Amino acid sequence: MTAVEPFAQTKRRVRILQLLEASERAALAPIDTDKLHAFAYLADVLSPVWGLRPFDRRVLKTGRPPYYADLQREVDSLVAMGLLEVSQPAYRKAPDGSMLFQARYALRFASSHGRNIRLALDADIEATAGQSYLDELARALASLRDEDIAAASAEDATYDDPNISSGDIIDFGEVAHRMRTGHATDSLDSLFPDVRLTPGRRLYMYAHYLGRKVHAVG
Amino acid sequence: MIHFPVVDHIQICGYRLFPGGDQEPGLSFLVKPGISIIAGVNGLGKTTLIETIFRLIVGPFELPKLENSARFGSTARVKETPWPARREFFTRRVADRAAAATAKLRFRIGDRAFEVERALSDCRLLTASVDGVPIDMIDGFETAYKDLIVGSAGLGSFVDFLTMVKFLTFFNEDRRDILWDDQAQRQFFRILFASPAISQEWVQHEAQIGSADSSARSASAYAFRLEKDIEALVEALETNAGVTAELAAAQALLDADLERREELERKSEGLKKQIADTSRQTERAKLAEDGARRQLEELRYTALERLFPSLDDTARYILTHLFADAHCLACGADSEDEILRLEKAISDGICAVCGAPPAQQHRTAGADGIVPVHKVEQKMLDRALEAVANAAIEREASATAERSFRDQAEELNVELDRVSRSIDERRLANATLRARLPPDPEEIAEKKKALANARSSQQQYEKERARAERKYQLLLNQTEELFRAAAVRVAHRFQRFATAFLEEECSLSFRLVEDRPSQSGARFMYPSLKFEMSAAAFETKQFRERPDDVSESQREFVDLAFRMALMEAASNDQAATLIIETPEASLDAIFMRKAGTMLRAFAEDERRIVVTSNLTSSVMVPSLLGGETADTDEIADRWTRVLDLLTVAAPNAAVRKFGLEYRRFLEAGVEGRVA
Repeated sequence: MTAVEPFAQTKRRVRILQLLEASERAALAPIDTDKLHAFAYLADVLSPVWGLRPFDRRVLKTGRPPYYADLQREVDSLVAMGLLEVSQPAYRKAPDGSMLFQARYALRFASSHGRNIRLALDADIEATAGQSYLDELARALASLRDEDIAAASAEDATYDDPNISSGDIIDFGEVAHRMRTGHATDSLDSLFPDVRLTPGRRLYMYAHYLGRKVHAVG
Repeated sequence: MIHFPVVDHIQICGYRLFPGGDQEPGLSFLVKPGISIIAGVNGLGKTTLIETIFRLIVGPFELPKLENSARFGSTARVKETPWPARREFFTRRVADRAAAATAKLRFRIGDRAFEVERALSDCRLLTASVDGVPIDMIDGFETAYKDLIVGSAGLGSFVDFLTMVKFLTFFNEDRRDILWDDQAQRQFFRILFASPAISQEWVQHEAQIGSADSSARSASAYAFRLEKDIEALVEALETNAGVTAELAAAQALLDADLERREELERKSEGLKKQIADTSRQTERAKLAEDGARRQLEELRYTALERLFPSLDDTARYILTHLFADAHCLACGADSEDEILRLEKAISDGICAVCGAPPAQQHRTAGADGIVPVHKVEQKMLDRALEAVANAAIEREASATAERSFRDQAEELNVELDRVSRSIDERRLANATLRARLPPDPEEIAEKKKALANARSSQQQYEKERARAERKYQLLLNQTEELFRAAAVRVAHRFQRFATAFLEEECSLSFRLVEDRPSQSGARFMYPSLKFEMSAAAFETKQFRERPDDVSESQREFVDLAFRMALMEAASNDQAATLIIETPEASLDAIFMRKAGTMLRAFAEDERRIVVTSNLTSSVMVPSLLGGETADTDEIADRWTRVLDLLTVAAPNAAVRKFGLEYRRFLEAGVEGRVA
């Protein structure tokens, strides 16, 4: 098992519960593995729009939509702890021969333990602020067609940056990596010069733009 | 002998300030011997008219400004300068900017009759003649005209003529003192009583003394600065002898720090690259490990699905991961024994939940198409397990390497900070040391050489000054007797005028006063006339050294008496014109009469006085023109001596409203009646 700091592990588990909570509220749950990781990635790269810092430090750019191995490990644990419900687990081979695991996840509302965790999070100011951001982003993503959500994350200005090749990491802490998505969201102002865009409105418009891009490419 | 300008006639055309009457447009006035009055209330252009007459004579030229304008100046002015207001003074007073305005003056100097006409827009000469012969005006500096008037006046230079006319012919509102200013007296003695040749020699010597003195003082000031510099440098040389070595040592430490920082920065760059490489490697390893695990899971999952077709997704999920990880997913406990048990059960076809052998199982192999688990290829499982283990090792190795590089980078950054701080501190300390570095001995030698040169120049200029001063002294010796005699003549005439005005006994007495024409050169004795006057609290007459020693009206009229005495004495009682602006300002009714007596005492024979009056007092006009009379010829003559600006000048609001009253007031004055 990966040696993980207990504190970092707890933080990541809370993050997963919040992502799934937001998915529930936006009617995205049960959410499949690809969409969950796409949601986690966009939550990282768009966090400056909400004035937050990215949760993850980095992600490896692959030929597929973003995928966090660490996140998936903790999802597995949360299932075993009875906090998440899993359905339709399946394995499929990727074109490169590697094995991909697919399942759909949702919060397990029957768990009393899970209920206590959610009550505790509701009372925490920092957690509430993070949750409201994830809720808004989940609603923005829910405005896309279900099958476009995972592909949309790969169309993000940073993930799609031609200067970062597949197999390199995207470091959210580096200004140069943050700039492209930032520029893209800032440039929305020039489309509506007379309107002051709220952060929420900005997320919706950016999600809409990614959705359009999926089809422009596809 | 000096000849003063005698004004005969003034004429102004096309100037809106003096539109004149319907019968006689513009302004035209004949100045007769005796007293004339320019009468008009405030704002009708009296000062402008006086300035017009002045500018018609002297043109657009001015005396150079002295730094201390309250005094006349210790040396003579050498050259006049252009009048700065030549294009503004007359133009700003009228809406058409005096575009077509001209003024003409007939005047005499000695036995020569001049006639000049100037444009008021810029004061330039339009026509000029002497004794009816036109004067050459090609030269824009009016050189020919100036030479003629200077020669006619018996003076040596135009700047002296300008001084004489400005301060003696005209007694205008700024009333600069002459009697109480020894330097002014000295210059007027020179201008009026020395021959033109001696006067010019005097000016030349004063200029030489002034120039040599100024150069000597500059050289001295420079030498003084050099001396102070040398003192400071020598002191620095003695007290900071060890600083060079100290600085060299400090610089060596700084150089070592700089080298260390460069090395650290190089290492830091290397580490950054290694961190980037290992972090990329870690992420790739994580993904590879994840892939390997999912591969193993898939094998297990397939086996479990066959073994436990009724297990729900969650149970299958957990069991799969349990097999793949050898750790309990829920609690993280090491469950190797349990896994071995399950592994064996699965490979033997024993139910993993209840332990029933294959024979007792209701769902037997083949019955519902389930392939016994032991049929799963053990080799595939083993390979998958090995792949997971290898991937985990690689991920762990990459993560460890990354952590190690990050730790190294952190340590390196701490040291880099420390070295950078040390460099800043050392640089500051070195700058302080550098400021204390002993000077270059060559620099001191250079400065000493410059000092010797400066002192040599200073001595040279002092010698020049001394030579000029010797010549100047000889000239002063030559003129002393001349000035004494002139002073007696001036004092005699002053007595006559002053007595007419003052009730007190008064006189002028000759004295030699010490002064110097330069700031630091030799002192000389100059002729001076001192004013003495009896006072209520003293038995004998007292010297009144300063203008403050007499009352305001006494000051003005005593100074005027002195000017009249100078003019009479210098011109041997020949014709002259004196133009006085509003002399009545500081006088009461009694003293206005006395002032009239004094002015009439001057305006005898061919001499003439032009006085401006504000019509503020009913006494002034009779005091000047004579007492009450019913003689119509006399009254008519008096009117020819009055330039009535109430009629000639453009009326202002006061004249439009009270014009009749002012006129009655003036008429009463001309007829000698006190209104």
